[in-house]
Parts: sequence; structure tokens; C-alpha cells
Amino acid sequence: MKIFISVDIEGVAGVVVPKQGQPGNLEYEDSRRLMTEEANAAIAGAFAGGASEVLVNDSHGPMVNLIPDLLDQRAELIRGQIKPGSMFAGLDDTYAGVMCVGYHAVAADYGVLAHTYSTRDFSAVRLNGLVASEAMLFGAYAGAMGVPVILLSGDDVTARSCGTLFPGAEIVTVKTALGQRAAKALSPQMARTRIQNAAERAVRQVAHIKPFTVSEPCTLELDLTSAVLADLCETIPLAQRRSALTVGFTAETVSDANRWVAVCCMLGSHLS
Amino acid sequence: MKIYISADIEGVAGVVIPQHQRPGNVEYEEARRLMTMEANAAIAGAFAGGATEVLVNDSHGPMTNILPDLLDPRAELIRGNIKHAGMFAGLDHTYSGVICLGYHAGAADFGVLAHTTSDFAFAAIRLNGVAASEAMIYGAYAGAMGVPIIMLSGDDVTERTCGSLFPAAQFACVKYALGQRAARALSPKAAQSLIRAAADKAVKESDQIKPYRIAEPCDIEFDLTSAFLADICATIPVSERRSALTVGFRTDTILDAIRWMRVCSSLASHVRLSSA
Repeated sequence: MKIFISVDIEGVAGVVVPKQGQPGNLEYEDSRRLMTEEANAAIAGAFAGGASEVLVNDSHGPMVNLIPDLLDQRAELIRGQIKPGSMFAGLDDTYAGVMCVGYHAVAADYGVLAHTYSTRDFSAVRLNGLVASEAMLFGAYAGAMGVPVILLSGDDVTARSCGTLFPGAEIVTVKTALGQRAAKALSPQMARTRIQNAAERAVRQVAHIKPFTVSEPCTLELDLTSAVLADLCETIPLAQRRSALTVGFTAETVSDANRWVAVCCMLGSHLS
Repeated sequence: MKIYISADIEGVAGVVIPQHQRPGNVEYEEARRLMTMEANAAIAGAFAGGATEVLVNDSHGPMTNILPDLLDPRAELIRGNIKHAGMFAGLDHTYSGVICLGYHAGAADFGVLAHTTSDFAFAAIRLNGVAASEAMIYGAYAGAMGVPIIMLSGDDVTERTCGSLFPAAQFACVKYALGQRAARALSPKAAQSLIRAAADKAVKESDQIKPYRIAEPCDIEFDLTSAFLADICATIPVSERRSALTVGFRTDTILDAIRWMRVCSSLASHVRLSSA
């Protein structure tokens, strides 16, 4: 049985400030190690639950955060970007389930370091009219291939707002948000134990968990952080300008919707 | 009669180095003044030739180069970016002709500061399989609305490579390329006189000049300057990855081809940030 693990950083126990997610800071070196250890906990749980193969995809920012030397050697690791499928790069229908480790709440919500893709570019993302988190966008991407999200870890807001999308999945709360940049967290050891146990249970139950799907074709709406960025996104021939700050796309597939989000996010670099 | 002037900077007499193109350099302040004076020459020629209304579109880089105080007060000016249709923003079918001022040769060709839209992003651009300059791409955009290019100015390579697309148009050759960053140029005053005379003649003859048209739907193909940038451009759902360095788009209209060009050019900024 093949298990796929997508690892983000904002939902790792102990991570609370932007510097912890940004290379070049002392704080980042600490949090990437914590991130790697939470990935290890998920890997160990996956194998204990019956996985025969585990693929880990580094899913944060530059996507070269996980420390290969420290990562459980039984797993293979996808590093770097740009890559097709982005946070779920490498996933296909041969996987029995996906774990989202270190995930976070959505832009414009409570939750530690809550955002969708990029705080610089998006104040909100909506898929088929619903506020969309990264867990939702990529969970739907996996669901379109028939693969369920079987575990989600992060803070309590993530558990509440994203966890409900995946009713059969194990939801691991490793910290409680006290604000955008403050949380009460489990000790790293305790967080890993919970993740490992949940991962094991999730893999054992995988056959009973249904994929999360959204209707396709789908409608994607992006609230940009500035009107000039909306002007730039509107340059895309298929873009629909919905308001001064909002651009929409009709996408045949949720995969294409995710690609439009990525394109608009990268266009944001032009204004930086 | 309404005349439209799109003003770029690389083809202005006296402009030869990248510092002339970029705000923040002393050399740029000189070049933008020369650019403004060439625009004035074209405006004066257009009115002398019978224009009743002239619209100037600042078409270089940040598109805030022309000095409004120094610009002939009879003309209106479009400044800034991002704007719909970029170098030909504000053009519609009510114009009798377009003047491309200070234009330059296409990417991968000889000619002073030759490039197409962005030398950071594009090694070459092909429109319907043919190597494309900005004059070709935007000329086809004007042509699709029935508006002809009636005059161009720039260096001798631009005249040879772009001028031939617009055989009835006037061409004011203001410098002769000795390399990518070197030219033998007319004096600014002589260049301005040449431009003024050409604009006057072009406007007088504008009703004889046919629009330049290309086949639509069309195919636009970009040779990117890195495979990483090609990866980024290939993130666009309707893009076609044609090789490690090449991404193409099939579009219904030339306007959409221009929009993809601008999207991919803007995406190149992500390479800059990612490599910092």
C-alpha cells in the first residue's frame, strides 16, 4: 500500500512567526528540523499501519525545507519547485491515501499564520463559491483521482475549518491558536507521538475513507491584495475581472484551478 | 483625423546602452528627454499632415518615461502600466493610423538593444511560425481593427526587418547599428527633423496605406531564457510545452497572443525573486 505525505510548515507544533517559515533566518533552521521530525512521525505511523511505500512531498515555500539526512530513510522525498501538482506533486491514483502534515487555516480566517498560498497576493480564494484552504484545493485535487485525505495535522482552527471536509480522516491538533502569530502548543515529542498514532490508525482505516470531491468544471475566484495585481492577473486571456480586487476563472478541472492559483501567485512577484 | 503614436525608447537617436532604458540612471534622464523630443517631432508632423487629434502612448518599460511638461500640449498622453493592450493601449478603430516611434529590432536579431518585450524572459518569439518583433505583434493588433501602421522610426536593422512588413509606411532611420550597444546616429535635431517630415507625409498618405494583418486564430511561441521559466509558464493550464525551453499558445485573436506574451513576461519576475 502506497501512502503520500504532503508536509507544510505553518501547522508544525512550535511554529508561530513568519521567520520560522522563511529561509535565511535562525528561527527557520529550528522549525525545518521540527517539520522534518513531524514528517518522520507520520512516516513511522504509516509503515506501522501497513504502508509498503511512502512518498513525502516538501510543500512549503521553496519546497527545500525538509532535511534529507534526518528524514526516515524508508521514505522517498520530493524537493524543489516548480513541479506539476505542486503541494501534491507526484501523487497519482496508485496511492491509497494522502496525509497533510503541518497544514494551516485559510486566508482571512483565524489560525496560526493562516493564509492560502500567499499572504502577499491573496486575501481570499474561493472554489465553487466556497472559501478555499490549501487543504481543500489539494484535497479536491487528490479526490479527483479517487485518493482520500486520511490525516490532517495543524492547529485547532485548521482542525475546525479544514478537518470537517474530510470526515473519515484523522485530525491531529498539535497547537491551539491564540492569534495569527501566537499559539499554545504541545511539546514536539507529544506532537510527534500523536501524529504517529493517528497516521497508523489512518492507514489501517484507509479503505473506509471516502475521497473529497468538488464538482467539475469549477469556478475559481481570487481576491487579490491590490488592484494593480488584479490588473496584472486580468492580462490572462481566460481571466474574468469580477471587481476591482477580484479575478475569476472557469476551470475544467480542479487541477487547472490550482494551476491558475499558482500562476496568479507567481505574477505577484512582478509587483514585488 | 485621429493619429495614434506609440513611443518606445530603444530606437531613439542617441540611445545605445541599457542604462538609457532604465529609471534610476543619469543616462536615463537624458534618454527620456530625447524620447520626448522625438515624440514632439512626430506630433508636429502629424498635425502638419492633417491630424486633428493625437494620442501618445508611453510604451517603454514602466511606461512613465515621456516628460509631460515637455510634451506638445496639443497631444494627450497615456502613462503607466498595467494597461489593456500594453504598447497600443487606447487604440481603437476610430484612429486613421499608428506611428511606432523609437522602435527596435526583434529578439535574437542584430540591431541596437534588439529584443522582443523582455530580454530577461524571451530568447525569441514566433507568431504563426515567424520570428516576431514588437512592431509585428502590435502592428497585427492594430491591423485586426483595420488601423494601418503609417510610420516607424528606429535603427537600420529595424527598418530592414520590421519596415518591410509595412511597405507603404514611412520609415525614419535615425541611427545605424554597429552592435547590440553601439550605433552611428543622426544628431537629435536632424533625427527630429526627419521624423517630423516622415510623420507629415505619412498622415497625408494614411488613407492609401493598408492595415497589416495576420491569420487568426494564431499561434504564439516563446523561447524562454531558462528551463525554469519554461516550467513556470507551463503552469498555465492552456499552455503547450513544446521543448525544454519553448512554450506555445494557440489563441483566437492577436490580442490574446499579446496577453499571453505579457503574462509570460511578467512571470519572469518570479525567476528573479526565486533566484535572489
